[in-house]
Parts: sequence; C-alpha cells; structure tokens
Amino acid sequence: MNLEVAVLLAGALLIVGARTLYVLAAYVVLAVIASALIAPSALVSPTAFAIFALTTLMKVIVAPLGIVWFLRENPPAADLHPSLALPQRLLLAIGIAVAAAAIAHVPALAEIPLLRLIAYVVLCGIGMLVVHRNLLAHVIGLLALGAGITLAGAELAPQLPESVELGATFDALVGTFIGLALVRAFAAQNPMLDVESLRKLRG
Amino acid sequence: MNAFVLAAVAAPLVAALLPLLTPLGQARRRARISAALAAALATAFVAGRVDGLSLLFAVLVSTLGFLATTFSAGGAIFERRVGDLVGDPEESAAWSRVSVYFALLGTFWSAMLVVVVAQNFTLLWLGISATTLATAFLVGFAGEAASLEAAWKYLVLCSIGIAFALLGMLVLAHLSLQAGIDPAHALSWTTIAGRAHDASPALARLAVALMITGFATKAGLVPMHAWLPDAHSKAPAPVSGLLSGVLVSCALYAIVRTLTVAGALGVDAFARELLLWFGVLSTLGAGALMLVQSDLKRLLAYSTVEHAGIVALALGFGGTFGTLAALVHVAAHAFAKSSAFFAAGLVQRERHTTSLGQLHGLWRSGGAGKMLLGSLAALGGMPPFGIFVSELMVVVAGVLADRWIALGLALAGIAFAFAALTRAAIDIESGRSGKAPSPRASILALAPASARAAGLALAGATAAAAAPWSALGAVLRSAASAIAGSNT
Repeated sequence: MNLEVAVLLAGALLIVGARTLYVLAAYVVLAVIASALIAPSALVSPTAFAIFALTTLMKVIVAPLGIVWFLRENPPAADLHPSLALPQRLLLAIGIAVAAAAIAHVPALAEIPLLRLIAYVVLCGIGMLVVHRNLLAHVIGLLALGAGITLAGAELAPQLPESVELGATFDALVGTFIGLALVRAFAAQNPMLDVESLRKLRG
Repeated sequence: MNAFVLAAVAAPLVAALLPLLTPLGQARRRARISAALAAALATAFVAGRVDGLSLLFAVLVSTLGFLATTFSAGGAIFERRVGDLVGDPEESAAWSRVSVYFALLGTFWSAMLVVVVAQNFTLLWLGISATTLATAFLVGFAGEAASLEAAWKYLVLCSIGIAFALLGMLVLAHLSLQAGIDPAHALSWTTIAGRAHDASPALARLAVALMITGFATKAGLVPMHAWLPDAHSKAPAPVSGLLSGVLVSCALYAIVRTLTVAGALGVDAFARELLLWFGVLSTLGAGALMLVQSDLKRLLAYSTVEHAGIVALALGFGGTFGTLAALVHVAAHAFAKSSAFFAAGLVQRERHTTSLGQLHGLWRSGGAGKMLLGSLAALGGMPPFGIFVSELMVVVAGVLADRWIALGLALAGIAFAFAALTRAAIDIESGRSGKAPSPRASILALAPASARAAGLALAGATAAAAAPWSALGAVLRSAASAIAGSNT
C-alpha cells in the first residue's frame, strides 16, 4: 500500500468511523506517516532529533494511550454517535478528497510538494470537528489537524524541524490534554459526552 | 532570549508560586500582592532589550496582570471558600482551588509576556498557544456545565485558529527560505522585513491571510468570535478582565507583527483590506448584538469584539495615523475593559447576579455601582476617557484613508454599542433595589484591595486619553511609523 492510499483511507476513516478506537487508529496512522516524513530533516542536529523523538512519542503513543485510558474509565464514550448518517459521512469524505485535489491544482500553489495530502489531512481534521458532536471526536480531530500541520511543515520548511515539531505538537497536545481534562470534568455530568447536551445545560 | 528578558517573563509564574510557602490567610494574601508587584516591576528588565512596541505591550500586560492578581487576592471571602468567587462549590471541578487559580493566573501572565517580547513568530506562536493552556482551565474554573461548555468552545475554536496561524507561518518560512534567509531567522520579522523579497504574490497572500485569520480568531474578530462571549462571560471577573483587556491585545499585537512582514512581502494592501473588513464586520455585528444582551458580563464580552473590531479597522485604514490610533485604542481599551469586568465582579459579589433585568439602583448602593458606571462610560467612548480620544483618531484615520463606506458602517456599529451601554447603565444605576447592602457590608468595605485594583484600572482608562501627547505618545508614534513605514 503506498503512502497516498494509506493517508486517503485513514482520513476517510476519521470522517466515516463511528467507533472511537477505529478513529483513533486512523489518527495514529496519519501521525506515524507525518512523523516519518519529517524524520530525515530532524536528523540534522541533536536538538532537532531530541525534540522530534519526544514529540513523536507524545503524539503517537502518549496521547492515544491517554484516550484509551479515558475510554476504559468511561465505556459509553466508545461510540462517537456521529451527528450525520453513514451515507452523508461517506459523501463528505469524498467531498474532502475532491476539494483537496482541487486545491492541489491551483496553479499558484503548485510549487508546494504533497499539497494534496496536506490539504486532505487538514480538511479531515476540520471535518471531524464539524461533523461529530462528540467531545472525544473533537480531541481526535485536533490531533489529526496537528498531523496535517506536521505534514505541511515537512514539505514547506524541512530546514526548521524544531519549529514545525514544537508548533504542531504543542497545538495538538494542548488540545488533547486540556481537552481530556475538560472532558473528564464534563463526563461526571454527562457520560455520553454529546456537545448538544452540553449546550442544553448552558446557564 | 536574553537572561534579563527571561527573568521578566518567568517572574509572574514564580510570583504565583512563592506565596504558597507562607501561611494561609492575611499573610498569604499580602504575599501574593507583594510578589505580583515585584513581578510587574521586573518587566523593567526588558527595557532597552526589546523594541518600543514590545515594551509598550509588556508594560500593559504586567500592569493589568498585577491589578488582576491584586483584585483576586484582595477578596475578603476568597481565601476561605472558592465557591464565593466561582459560584456553587458543590459543582466545582478538580482544578477549582485557590492555589491552582493563582498558579494558572501566573502562567497566563507569563505566557502573555512571552507573546509580546518574542522576536520571532515561533516564540510568539508558542506564547499564544500557552495562554490557551492556562486560560481554558480559568474559563472553566467554576466547573459547572456552562463554564465547561465555554471552556470547550474556547479550546476547540482557538486551537483551530492558531493551527491556521501556524500553517501561515510555515508558508512564510517557505518564502523566507526561498529568499535565502538563514533557517534560524526564517521567522524573525526584523530579518524578513530587512530583506528584499521576490516572493510569489499568491503564496505571500496565503501566508498573510492564514496568519491574520488565525490570530484574529484569538482576538475574537467576527466571524471567528463565537467562543469569546461565552468564555469572557463565564470566567471569574479578574480573568475576564485579563482575557478581554490583555489577551485580545496580545492577539492584535501578533496581527501588527504580521503586518510588518506583509509590507516586506509586498502584500500590505491585501492584508489591510482583509483587516478593514474584519473590523467592519466585528464593529457592526457586535454592536448590533450588544443591543439584545440581558447579562452584564456578556454585554461586556460583546463590547470586546466591538473594540477589537475598531483596532482592526484602524489598522486597515493604515498609515502612521491609523496605526497610532490602533495602538492608543488598544491601551485605552485594555484599562477600560479590565476596570469594567473588575467592577462587574464587585457588583456580582455584592448582588449575586449579573442579569441586567435584576440589577437596579446601583448608584445609591455604594461605590461598586459608581465604578461600573465610570467603566461603562469609558467603554462607550465618552470624554474624558482614553477611548474617546482613540475613537476620534480612528475616525480621522478613516477620513484620511478616504474609506467612507467602511467608516460609515463601523460608525453605525459604534452607535449601536453606545446605545446598548447607555441603556444598560441607565437600567442598572437607576431605580431601587430591595437587596442593596448597607455601606458597611458593601464589597468595597469588605475587599478594599479589590476595589483599589478596579479604581486603578479606571484611572488608567482615563489617563490613556493623554497618551498621544505624553512621552508614551512618542514611543507609540515611533512604533506606528515603523509598522506603517514601507507604505506611507
């Protein structure tokens, strides 16, 4: 399976998937691919490599394990209860793939390598945040967005691995760990973690 | 980062933690205020080591950071029960503890200092991201559902926004590297501005648009403002003051720095046009929404969107005068909005509500009501407050730029906001309230340090009126001409 197919399938699973673990696995695939692409540029200095190693560990292992731990504590969160039906989610995934291909064909942006993949992963991350009403899906969406940014950094500014890794990881991890802390506080009031029920409780 | 600058940045965090070594009660409260004062004074270390614009914002951050800490520590009841500050203690979250509150406040203050003393976009961006770290918990500090929802919305929308800013920075780094800039300085605005660029206009526009849109999300500009009214109205009053008065200013500072590189990349006109219409939308949209608000803190939060819009509008008008107007407005608004939220906090603790329908007769009940009236007048742009001067300058900048339609629409928004603030002021100050406390039981008597902090913020909002003609004005003019430099 080549890189593009792997990214396409993982991105589609983010949008279409309804089980938290499947969606999380799709994110891990994207994070591993993004880290693998930026790895060569991280070998230029010990500092860059140290940051790369640490952030890869956080993104690929620690953050997913945090979510798995949370799922064990809150079994109802294992299902994302998507707000769109399966056919609509499939259509959206296809729409995102078409939009990413269209962005890659804009002549002014043609010089950016792998633009189609970058746009696809970023749009999938945003798509997850838009179509899912589940708070845990939002956390995974933020992580996927971080993977998209790492991909963009690997292609746009490979000479700046520290900035790329620090930026993408900080964004994703701030979202994940603060997100999980907030989700945990909210789970005490609503184990379904549905953003609609959160809205109904507004004071 | 220079060791002195690093010390100034770390001081607020250290000042938040050191008082934990002192015994609980009055001694710890005094230690908190003294340590915060020392941290604010440590900002002097950055003088001469950063440019005028960074120094101005650092002083603003530290002055209001100190006042917010003093306000928080000065509460007579706060040390005993956190619920008195945040609501029902039964609903509080794991982090709803006084010591955690001050640690988060110190982290927030330090993170904002990182934003304004950074000399490149990487550090500036990390600082903005770090503010989210502390403030998400501060917004959700009460732990009840409404606060958690506000914190969640804030976290998700701001994370998306700053992710866009990061994408823009990566495109900018790509352009810098293409121009032959050393990777170590590829995101330094002084290096980028000092180099002739032959950048692809489309990529330059993409970089600047992503960065401005990303930072504008943190500044709460319409249409990326959805998180702001909830977050700013649900946070504890001193935190709301800092969020509205200073954090929004830090995001606007990031936009100002983006304008510097937009000029160097030859897309200054595009960047200013984008800001101009963000400004018009924010002023008009927020002004109209202010007319239908029924909660005092929510009204103040929408007023923040309106004022962020005025700053964006002034930057959009451009030129040295427009940029100067924007900087004066940032300073005047920071003090006025902090004082308004502090006063709203005093009123909330006195009356146990911020519902406009239930707040009446504040003028007769004590100093908190009078302080709130002053703050509302300041925010409405009435003389002798600084916003009166800065809004006048923005109007002149619009006339000089010959942007009559944008100016007309923005003035309509400002008129809506003025009407909403005036109506709220008349409603809450007039009439009688059966629940008015006696002067001795007034919150001003119970928490004099908090009252002094609110009073000092209001004094700052008044003093800002003299900014253009003072020594500060010279610094502001120099910063404004440096930003507007290549295009005027």
